[in-house]
Amino acid sequence: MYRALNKRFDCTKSEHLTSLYQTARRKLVDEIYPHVKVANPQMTDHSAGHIAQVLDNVDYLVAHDAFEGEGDRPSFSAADAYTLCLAILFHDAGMVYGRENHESSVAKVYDLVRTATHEAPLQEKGLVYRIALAHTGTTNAGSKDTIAAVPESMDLDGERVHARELAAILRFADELAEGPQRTSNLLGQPPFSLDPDSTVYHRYASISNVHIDRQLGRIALTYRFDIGHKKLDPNQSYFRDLLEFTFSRAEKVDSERRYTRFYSQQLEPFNRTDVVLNFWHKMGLILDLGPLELSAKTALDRHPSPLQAIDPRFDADRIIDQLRRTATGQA
Amino acid sequence: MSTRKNPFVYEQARLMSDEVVAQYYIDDHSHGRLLRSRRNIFLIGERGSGKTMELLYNTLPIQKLVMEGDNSNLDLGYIGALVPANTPLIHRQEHDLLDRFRASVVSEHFFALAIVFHLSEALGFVADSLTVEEEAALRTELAFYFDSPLPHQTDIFDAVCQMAQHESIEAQKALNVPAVEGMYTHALSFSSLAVPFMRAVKKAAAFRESHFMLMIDDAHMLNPYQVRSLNSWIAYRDRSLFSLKVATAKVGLPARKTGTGGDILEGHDFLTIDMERPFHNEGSDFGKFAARVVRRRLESVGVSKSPEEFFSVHPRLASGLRAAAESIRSRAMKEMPNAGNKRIGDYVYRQTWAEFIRKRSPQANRPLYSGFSTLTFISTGVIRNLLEPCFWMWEAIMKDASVGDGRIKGIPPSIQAKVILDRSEVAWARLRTLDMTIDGCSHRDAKRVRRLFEELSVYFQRRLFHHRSEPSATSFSLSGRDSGVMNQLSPLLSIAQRAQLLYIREGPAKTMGRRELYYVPNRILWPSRGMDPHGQHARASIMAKDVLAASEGRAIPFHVQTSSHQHNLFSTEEVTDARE
Repeated sequence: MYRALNKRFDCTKSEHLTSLYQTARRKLVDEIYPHVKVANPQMTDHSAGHIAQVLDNVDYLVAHDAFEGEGDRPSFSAADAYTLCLAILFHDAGMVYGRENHESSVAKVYDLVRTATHEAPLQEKGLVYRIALAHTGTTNAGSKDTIAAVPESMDLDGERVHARELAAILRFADELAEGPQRTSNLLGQPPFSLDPDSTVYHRYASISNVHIDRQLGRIALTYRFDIGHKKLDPNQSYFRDLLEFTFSRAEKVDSERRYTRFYSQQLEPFNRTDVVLNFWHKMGLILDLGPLELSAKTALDRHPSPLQAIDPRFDADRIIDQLRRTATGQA
Repeated sequence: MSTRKNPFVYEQARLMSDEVVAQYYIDDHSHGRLLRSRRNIFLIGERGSGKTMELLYNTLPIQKLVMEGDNSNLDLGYIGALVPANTPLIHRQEHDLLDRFRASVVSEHFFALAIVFHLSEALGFVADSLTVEEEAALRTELAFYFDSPLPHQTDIFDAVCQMAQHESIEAQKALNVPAVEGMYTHALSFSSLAVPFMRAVKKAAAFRESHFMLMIDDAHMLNPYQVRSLNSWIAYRDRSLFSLKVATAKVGLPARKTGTGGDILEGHDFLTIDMERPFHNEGSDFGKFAARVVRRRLESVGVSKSPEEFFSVHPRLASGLRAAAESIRSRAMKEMPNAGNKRIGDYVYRQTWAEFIRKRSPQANRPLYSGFSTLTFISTGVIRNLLEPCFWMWEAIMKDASVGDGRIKGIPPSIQAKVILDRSEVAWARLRTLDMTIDGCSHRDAKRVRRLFEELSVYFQRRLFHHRSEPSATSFSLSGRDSGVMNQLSPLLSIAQRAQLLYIREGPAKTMGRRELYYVPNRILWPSRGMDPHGQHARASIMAKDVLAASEGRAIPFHVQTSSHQHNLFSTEEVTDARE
């Protein structure tokens, strides 16, 4: 972003926008995001660490010369870069008011962060709000197609911003910001108790690994189940819940891939999601499934139980039965 | 049965006959199951850790031999073919003379040909599985891919081998002339030759359910273009047809990028098996594996004794260690009367060898190193390091005329001790000639590595005599890994690693559940210095700058612990001996 600003604008404007960005970041990181955890103690991490990961994910998702200042034919201007980074900073800030419709609360947080003395561009609030609003939830009309509700282009101080495409990129980058870093080994143990509804999210985070591979055109999802570790026991009912949840989240990632790709040329190379499940027991791999390829070929929308219909091995009951037999034999 | 044949041969598995490989192979249950699967596997380990043996055993020719020995039918569900990367068919230098595109094409051409050659060679062992009609159909189809009829005078798979050789020769001829444009109309690739070849073979009824395991040995010898090609095949989505099992040394580990710049992912695209084992006591995986290997070797020459009986401990060593253990136990029980049996037991285990060595007279000869446990620890978790001293012990016995009719009932402890000390001296002698044996090692670097090990030896000896809680630690981690220091130190450590005098492993760090690299000098070094060859799993934390300074002959700082030191008898905290 900084390179783009320096390339596009004169020194004064570039420094001003840089300062605006850094001010917002500082206020959000120091004063807002610490309270997100307080307001949502049961949730996986939605604090500054998550924001940093979303920013990193954008780096992996878009071409390395996509932004002005990086190549000769950039797809995005400095204004795009500035807006996207700012929208990422703000997109979950509304959670300080609770998770429900947090995307709509971005405007309230924006007003706390930005004061009149900052002299931010007038259109900035609207841009950030519209883009952040699209990252989850539904439109006012109840549609899930929130990106369509974002204008294709908007204005920031006379500069064109590809608002809709940026919304798609933010949404997908956010979807892919998952993994053990969003949870903690301490949670679920006294005194850091978790309510049952939240536990599956933390367990899911602890077993997930997401890799964004633009060159190979894939999102690689790798799930590692350490049987016996952190009480992952195939004999318990929560294990089945975790499996089903994992399947549904893998489907969601692919669903988001197809959806956001529709609105962003930068996301076009991602033509498939690969899913691998590895089950480990006492340092031995006792069962592995995949790679299951989710792509246009596998056409999720036509299957009621997508993963199992594509590959019958992705059946929770069958997996649990196999694990019980194998783990018992290895004990 | 005559026992004249030395059962402890430790040469490369590829130099052994198929019968010997089949006879000597020991199945490590988790490795075998992983290899005979559709997963792509990287087997990583230094020379002698058993990678090639593991691959070879799972190839079709040896599986056929094994099944015939068991009077079982050969299962063609998994067909393995070994493809060595360090042969002239693959390991070539022509790519250095070409631009990047042509270098990439040439490199893959030779690599694909080698795969087809070796796969065909393996399939030749079951050529009779094809019907006459199937062979004819296969011949026609393969002629189409090679763009040339196959030799007629021989079976189909031998014909393919000849054709692959022919293509390689033609490519070489084309490269020998300055203008090489003409060659590339015939350049073949994995996609244009190897994959169609496998698909064509699968059309035959016998191979309809077959999965081909392409076993690439010594992958660290591949050139960068071949590595990228290999990685691209590893990232190949469809694993029903083939999978890749890649053996590579830790030094020169191939990069993980594909031809298009993507990454192959551990856990997703491949799994890793680390062939080196960090734990070597009797109950550990390696301890049990080592015992099984040696037992199998002894059985092959009609010796029915257990490894522990065959390599018995010298009575003086045994009694010395017993006395040391008792002394340690009494002291521990006196100083910590409330400590439980387990803590006392752990303490005795950690301190016995150190106590034994400390109590010996300074004028005494070096300890009578003997016993199977000692041999296992000296191996430092590499199976060839276990077999090598055993080989020399056997040879020493065979020279003894009193052996009589050739039946060997055991290796006398005195012989064991002599051979262990000899091999230890040989290891130190290797340190003096690294510039002649390690590629890229200068005379100066060789000197520095030798000095480094000399100072490490002094450091660990001082620790043996003075460290209260972890005296027998003979491995170390590096703290203060400043980039400037590591840029100078890493090449020296790499030389030692390539010389197999140092092993680099990964283990849990003390802080925050992280993992760290740690360094284990080959334990064969310690007997000639009169040190504990067993060592402990604990490791000393040494400043990187002090290890670098040691390469210039400066002593590694060590502060003698006094009785006022805060650490108690049972402390297992690392003492950072150098000031940080």
